[in-house]
Amino acid sequence: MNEWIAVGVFAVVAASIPAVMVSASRLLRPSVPEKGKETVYESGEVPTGGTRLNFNIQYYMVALLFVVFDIETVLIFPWTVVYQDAVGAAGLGSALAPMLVFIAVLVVGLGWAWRTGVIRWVSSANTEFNT
Amino acid sequence: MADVTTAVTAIPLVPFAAFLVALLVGHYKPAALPKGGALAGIAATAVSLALSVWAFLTVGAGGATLSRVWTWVPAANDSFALTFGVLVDPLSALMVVIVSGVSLLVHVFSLGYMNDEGEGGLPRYYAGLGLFTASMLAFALASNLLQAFVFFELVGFCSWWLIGHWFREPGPASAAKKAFLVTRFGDYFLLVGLVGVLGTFGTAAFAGDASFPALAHAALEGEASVNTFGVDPATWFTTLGLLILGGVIGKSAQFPLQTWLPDAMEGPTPVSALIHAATMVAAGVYLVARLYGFYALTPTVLTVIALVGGFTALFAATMALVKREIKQVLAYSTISQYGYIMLGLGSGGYVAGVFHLLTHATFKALLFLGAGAVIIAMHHDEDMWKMGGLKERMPTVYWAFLSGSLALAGIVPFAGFWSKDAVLHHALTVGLGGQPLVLLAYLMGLVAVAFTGFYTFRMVFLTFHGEPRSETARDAGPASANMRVPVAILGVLAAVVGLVNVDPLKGVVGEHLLFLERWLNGPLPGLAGPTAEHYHELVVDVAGFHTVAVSPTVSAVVSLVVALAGVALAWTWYNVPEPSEKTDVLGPTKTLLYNNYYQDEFQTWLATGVVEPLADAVDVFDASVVDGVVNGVSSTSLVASDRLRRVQTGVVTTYTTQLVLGLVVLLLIVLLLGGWF
Amino acid sequence: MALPALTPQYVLGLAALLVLVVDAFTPTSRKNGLLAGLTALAGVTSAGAAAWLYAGGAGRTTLFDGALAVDASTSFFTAVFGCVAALVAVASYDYVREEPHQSAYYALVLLATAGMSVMAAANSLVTAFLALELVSLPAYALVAYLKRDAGSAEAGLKYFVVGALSSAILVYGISLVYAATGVFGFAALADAVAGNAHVTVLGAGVVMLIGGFAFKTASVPFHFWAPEAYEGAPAPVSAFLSSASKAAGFVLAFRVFLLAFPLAAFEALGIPWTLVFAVLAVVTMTLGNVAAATQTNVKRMLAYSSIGHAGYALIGLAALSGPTSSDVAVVGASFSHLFVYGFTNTGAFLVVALAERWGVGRTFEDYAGLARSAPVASAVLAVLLFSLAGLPVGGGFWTKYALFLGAVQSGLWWLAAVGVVNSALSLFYYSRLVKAVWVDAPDETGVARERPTGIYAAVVVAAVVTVALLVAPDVVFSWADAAARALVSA
Repeated sequence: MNEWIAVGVFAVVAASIPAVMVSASRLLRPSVPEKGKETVYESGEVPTGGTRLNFNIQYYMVALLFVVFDIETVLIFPWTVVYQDAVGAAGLGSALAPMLVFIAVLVVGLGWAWRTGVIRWVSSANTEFNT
Repeated sequence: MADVTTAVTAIPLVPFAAFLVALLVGHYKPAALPKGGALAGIAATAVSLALSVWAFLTVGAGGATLSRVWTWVPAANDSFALTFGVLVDPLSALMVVIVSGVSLLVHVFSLGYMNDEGEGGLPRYYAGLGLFTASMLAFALASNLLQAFVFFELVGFCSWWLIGHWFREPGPASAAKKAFLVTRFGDYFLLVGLVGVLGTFGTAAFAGDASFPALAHAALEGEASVNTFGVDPATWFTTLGLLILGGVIGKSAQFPLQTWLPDAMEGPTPVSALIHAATMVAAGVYLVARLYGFYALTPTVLTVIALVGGFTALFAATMALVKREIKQVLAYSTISQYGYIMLGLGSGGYVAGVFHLLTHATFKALLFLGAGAVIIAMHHDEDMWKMGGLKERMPTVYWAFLSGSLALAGIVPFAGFWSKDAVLHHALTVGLGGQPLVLLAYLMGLVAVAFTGFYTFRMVFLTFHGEPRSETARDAGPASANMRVPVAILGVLAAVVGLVNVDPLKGVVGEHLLFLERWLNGPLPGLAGPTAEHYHELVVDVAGFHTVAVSPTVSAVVSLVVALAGVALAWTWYNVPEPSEKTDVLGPTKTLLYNNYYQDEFQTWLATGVVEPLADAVDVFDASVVDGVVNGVSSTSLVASDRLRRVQTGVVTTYTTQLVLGLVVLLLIVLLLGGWF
Repeated sequence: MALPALTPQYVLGLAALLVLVVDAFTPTSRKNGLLAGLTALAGVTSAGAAAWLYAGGAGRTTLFDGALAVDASTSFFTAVFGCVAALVAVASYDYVREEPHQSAYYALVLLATAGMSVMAAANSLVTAFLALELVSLPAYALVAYLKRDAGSAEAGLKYFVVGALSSAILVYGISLVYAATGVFGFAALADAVAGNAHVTVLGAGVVMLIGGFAFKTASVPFHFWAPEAYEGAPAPVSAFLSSASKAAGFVLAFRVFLLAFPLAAFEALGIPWTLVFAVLAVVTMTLGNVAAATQTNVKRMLAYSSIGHAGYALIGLAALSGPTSSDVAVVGASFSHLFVYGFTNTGAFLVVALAERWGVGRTFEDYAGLARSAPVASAVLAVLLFSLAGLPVGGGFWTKYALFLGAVQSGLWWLAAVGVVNSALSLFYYSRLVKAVWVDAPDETGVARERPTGIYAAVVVAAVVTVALLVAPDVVFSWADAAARALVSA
C-alpha cells in the first residue's frame, strides 16, 4: 500500500466536493431565468456597455512601480533586522554596500521612469503616457 | 630554426603579394601600376630567388628543416590533424631555385613579349603569373600531400587563367578549358589517393619518422600496423600509388592525358615557357620525386611509371616530327622529355630523374623564350615553313636557341646529353637486371632519342637557316633587350648546367665532382628519410630493382650516336637553301602523326559516343528509381510539414495545452523507463 | 592585469544603467547613435573581457558562497552573447531609428545580455532561475517593442504566456529537486543526488527542469512560441533571441546537467536523462527542419530552422556516455556549434531586417532577384545560409561534422543519421531562398536600395566571422574544448 494514496484520495475528494455541490443544486433548484440574474455581477452597480473597451493604463503603471517598491521593502526589512549584527560580524562596508547598490539600481530605474514621463498623470483617458 | 621557416615561408608569399598588388591596384587604380604589374612581379620573383638561393645554401650547410606553419584542423576525437608546413630539403630547395629563377626570367621576358607589343589586360596577366609562381613555390615546399594537393589545384587553376589570357578568341578560351578539365580528370584520382593515404596512415606528411612513406615502409617490414582496409599492404600501397599517379599523369601530360598540352600553346609564349619548364608540367613529376620514398616501395607502380614514361617519350616524339608550327614542336618535345623524367624515376633513378628535371627546365625555358622572340619577329606567325634565314637577323637568339637545341637533342657536352644519358643508362642497367618491362621502356626511350635529334634540328634549320620564305621573315628585326637578356642567360646555362653531374666521366673526374648526386644524398640532420641514398636502398631492397653493371660511357656513346644520326638526317634534308617537306615520304602515316593519332577525336568520341549514352542510361535509372525514392521522401516530408503547420494554429491556448501534454508525455516516458509504475 | 571574474557581467549591467541614466538626463532628445554605440561597446567590451579572462588561464572561480562559478565555459558563452549583442545593437541603429523608446530598447537588450552572461556563470538553481528570468522579462518586452504593430504585440503576448507557463514548470521542477535533495548549489546537488532515496520526486523535477530549458532553447515540445515570436518581433530582436537567448538556455542546461546531475549517479538511479535529450534532439531537429521546408515566409523559415539547430546542439547532451575525452569532444562540438550559429544565424536574421527596412515583403517570392539590387547582402545571405546547412563555406561545416562524429563515437549512430538526413532537408529550403535571391527574376528591375550602414556592417561582420571560422577554426574550437573540459571534468 503506497503511502501517497492518501494524497490521491484527498485530491479526488477535494475535486468532487464542488462538483457535487454544483450538480446537486442544479438538480434541486427550480429554474426561473430572469434578466437580473443573468447580468454580470458588478458589486451592485448596473453594468453599461460591453466588456471590450479601451481603458486608461495609468493605474497599471503606478501599480507596477508600487510592486517594485513593495518587493524592495520586503528585502530591506529583514536586512534592517540583522543589520547591527552584520556590521559586527562583517564590517560596515560589507553590510551596507550591497543594499546601497540595490537601492541605487532601483533609484536609477525610478529616475528614468519619472523623467521619461511614466508617472505623469495625463487627464485624457485615451492618451498614451508618453509623447 | 625559426628564422629559416619564416624566410622560407616568405618564398611563396612574396609573389603572392605581387599577385594581390597586380590584381587590386590593377583593378582600382591601373594608372598607378607601372608596366601593368611587371615590375612588382619582377621584384617579387627576384626576392623569392634570393631567398631560395639562401635556403639552398642553408640546406647545403646541413640545414634541412621540416616545420609546421599552420594547423588548419586540429586533431580531435582520436582523429588526425590537417596541417600546412614547409619542408626544406635538397629536393625542394633545388626546385624553388628553379621555379623562382625561371619565373624571374619569364617576367623579364614578358616585358618584351607583352608590354612592348601593347597587349591588353596586363594587370590580369601579371597577377596570374604571380599567383602561378606563388602556388608552385608553395607546392614545392609543401610538407604534406594535402597541402601539395591544394597548391597542385591552384597551379592548375592558374594555368587555366593564363592559357586563356586572350579569352575573347575561341582558341585560347577552349584550350584553357581543355587544360583545366583534362588535368582535373587526373586530379580526381589524386584526390581519392589523398583521402586513401589519410585514411590509411592518419598522416600525409612527406618526411620524418611519422611520415606516411616511413609508415608504409615499416608496415611492409611488419614493424607497424596501418589501416589497409583488409587488403594486403603491398597491394593496397600499390593501389594508392597508382591513384596518386593519376594526378601526375594529368599534370605532367603523360599518355593518355597529354592532349591538353599542345592546345595550351594558345596561351602567351612566356606562359608556355613557365608551364613547360618550371610549373604546371613540372609539378607532376616533382610530386613523384617528392613521394619517392613511397613509390620506391612498390615495384609495380615504378614499372608503370617507367613504361608510361618510355612510351610517352617515343609517342610524343613521333608526333613532333611533322609539325609545322614551332611551338607545336616544342610542346611535343616537352611531353617527350617529361616522359624521360618519368622513365628515370620509374626505373629507380631518382638522381637521374631530378637531374633531367633540372636541365630540362633550363633548356625548355630557353627554347620557349627563344621561340617567343622569333614569334614576335614574325608578327605571331608560327609556321616554320614561312620562316628561314633568321640566323643573320637575330643572332643572339639564334646562338642561344642553338645551345638549347643541342641540349634538347642530347649532344655532348650540352645539358640534355648528361641528364638524358643518366636516365637511359639507369633504365638500361635496371632493365638488364631482370626487369624486361623497364628494358622495353628503355628501348622506346632510345628510339625517341633519334627522333628528338631529328625534330629539334628540323626546327632549327627551318627557322634560322636557308633563305627567308616569306616577306615577314625577310623583314624580321633583332629582338629587344628585354627578350635577348633572359634568352642569353639561359643559353649559357643550357650549355653548362649539365656539368653538375657528369656521370659517364665518373672514372675520369672522380665521384666528388658529381655535385647533384652528392647534393641529393644529404646530409639531412634531424630529418630521416628523403635522401637519394635512402631511396636507392629502398628501390633495391624493397622493390627488388637490381642493376647490372654497364659502363656509363658505353651507354652514353650509344645514345649520342643515335642522337647524331637524327641530327644528321635533319641536316641533309633541311639545312639547304630551299628545304621541302621531306617527311612526305611517310605517306598516310604523316597525316596520322600530324593529327596526333586522332587522339582528340578519340577522346571526343569517348565523351559523346560512350559516356553520353551511358550517362543517359544512368539518367533513366536516376529519374525513375532514385528520384522516385528521393521524391517519395521529400513529398512525405512536405506533407508532414504541411500537417505540422496546422499544429501551429496561432491560438495560444492550444500551445499551452500542447506544451503541457508534451511535458506529461516526457514525464510518462521517463517514469515508465525508470520502472516506477 | 587580473580582472574581477565577473567583469563582463558588471560591464553589461552597468551599461544598461548608464543607458537609462543618459536617457533620464536628456529624455526629449534623440540619441539613437549614442545609445546603439554604448550598447555595442558594452557587448564588445564584455566579450573582450571574457576573452581576456580565458587567456589569463584562471581556472574555476566560485563567488558568493557558491552561487556563481566562473570558468572557461562562462567566458566562452559570455563572448558569444557579447558579440551577438554588439551585432544586434549595430543593426538596431538603423532598425529602430524611427521608433520611440529607444533607451528602453537598448537597456532591455543589455539587461537580457547581462542575464545570459549570469546564466553562463550560474552555479545554483536559484541563481539559474533568477538569471533566466532576467533574460525572459526583457525578451517579452523586446518582442512586443513595435507596439503599434499588431504582429509584434501579439507575438509578445504569446511569448509571455508560454514563457510564464514554462517558468512555472521550471520553478516547480526546481522545487521538486529541492524537495528531494534539500540543496540548490550545483556541487551540493551532485553529492545529494547520488543514491538519493526520493527517486520519483527527483525524476519528475529533472524532467520539468528539462522542460524549462527546452523553452529557453526552443526545443520541442516547448517550441511553440518560437515561430510566432520570431516572426512578429523586430528582426534584430529575432536574431538576438534565436542566437544568444538559445545559446544561454544551452549553457545553463549544460551546466546543470554536467555539474549538478552527474550522469553516472543518475544512471544508477534509473533516470537516463541522456535518453530524454536524445529523444528531444531527434524530435526537435526533425520537426524544425520538416516544418521549415514548406514555409512561405522567410522569417518563419528561419525560425523553424533555428528550432532544428537546437536539435543539433542537443546532441551534445544526448551523446554523453563515453570516456571523458569523447564527452569533451562532443560537448565542445556543441559549444562551437552554438558559437558559429550565434554569428551565422544572427547574420541571417539581420539580412531579413535589411529586407524589412527596404520593404521587400516577407515571402520567398518577395525576395526574388534581390541579388540584382543588393549583391553584397545577397552574397552574405547565401554564405550564411549554406553555412547553416553545413556546406563547407563557413564554420558550420566543422561544427556539424564534429557533432555527428561525436554522436557516432558515442554509439548513437542513428542520431547522427537523423542529423545528416535533416541537414540534407535543410539544404533544400535554404537553397530555395538562395535560388529566389540569386536566380529568380525580380518583379521590378533597377530598384535603387539604400545602404543602412549599421545593418550592412553587422551582416558583413557576421559573414566574415563565419567564413573565417572555416579557414581558421582552431582559435574558437580550442576555447570551446577548454570550456567543455571545464564542465565535463569538473
